[in-house]
Amino acid sequence: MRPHPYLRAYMAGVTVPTAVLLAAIAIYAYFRFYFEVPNQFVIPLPGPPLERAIVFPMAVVPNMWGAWNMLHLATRSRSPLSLGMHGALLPIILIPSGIALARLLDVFTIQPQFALPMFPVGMTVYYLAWKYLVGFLNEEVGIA
Amino acid sequence: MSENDRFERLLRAALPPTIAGAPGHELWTRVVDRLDAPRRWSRVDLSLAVFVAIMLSMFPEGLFLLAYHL
Repeated sequence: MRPHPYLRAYMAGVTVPTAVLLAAIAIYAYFRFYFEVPNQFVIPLPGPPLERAIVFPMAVVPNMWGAWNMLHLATRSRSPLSLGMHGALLPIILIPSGIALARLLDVFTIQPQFALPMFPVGMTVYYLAWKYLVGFLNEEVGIA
Repeated sequence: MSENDRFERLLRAALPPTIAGAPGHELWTRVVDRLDAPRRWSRVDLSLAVFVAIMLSMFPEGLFLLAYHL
């Protein structure tokens, strides 16, 4: 059996949001630097610099995914939740903390009546991403 | 006749041959094929994906919020 299963779980969890961020940044850079569209029209921000907006998706989200995958590895023998259901619970922590950090850093503010419908959508996207993408990566690194 | 030969003969007489009960085809290849088969989307997962698409078409601003948390 290969050693360091938690390290492999962390790396498998980090991969998906990192790849998504890469795609998002590529789209952003294409519009921002090729078409020279002003910042706030590419991403509907109130005009703060990108470095404020990117703290959460770049620093917090991937690490949370890695830690969440480690948690699943540690608890899966005792937990009745599948990997997809385990991943679907992550937005319950991430969305409020992301909105709070965005408000703190003056990136954007969002009304609760708008954020609430996004909870089931976010949980569904997370469920599918964890079931198929993280599940595939876990199989590849030998911890499925 | 040695003791081992006698024991072997007794064993063969006592236990029926297992050849008749063997499967007619190789089972292990089916197991491997099933393990190697690509994961298919269930109907529930497909309907969940459709739900996300409908919700995002109704609330396109939500795409930014979603991308922010992915």
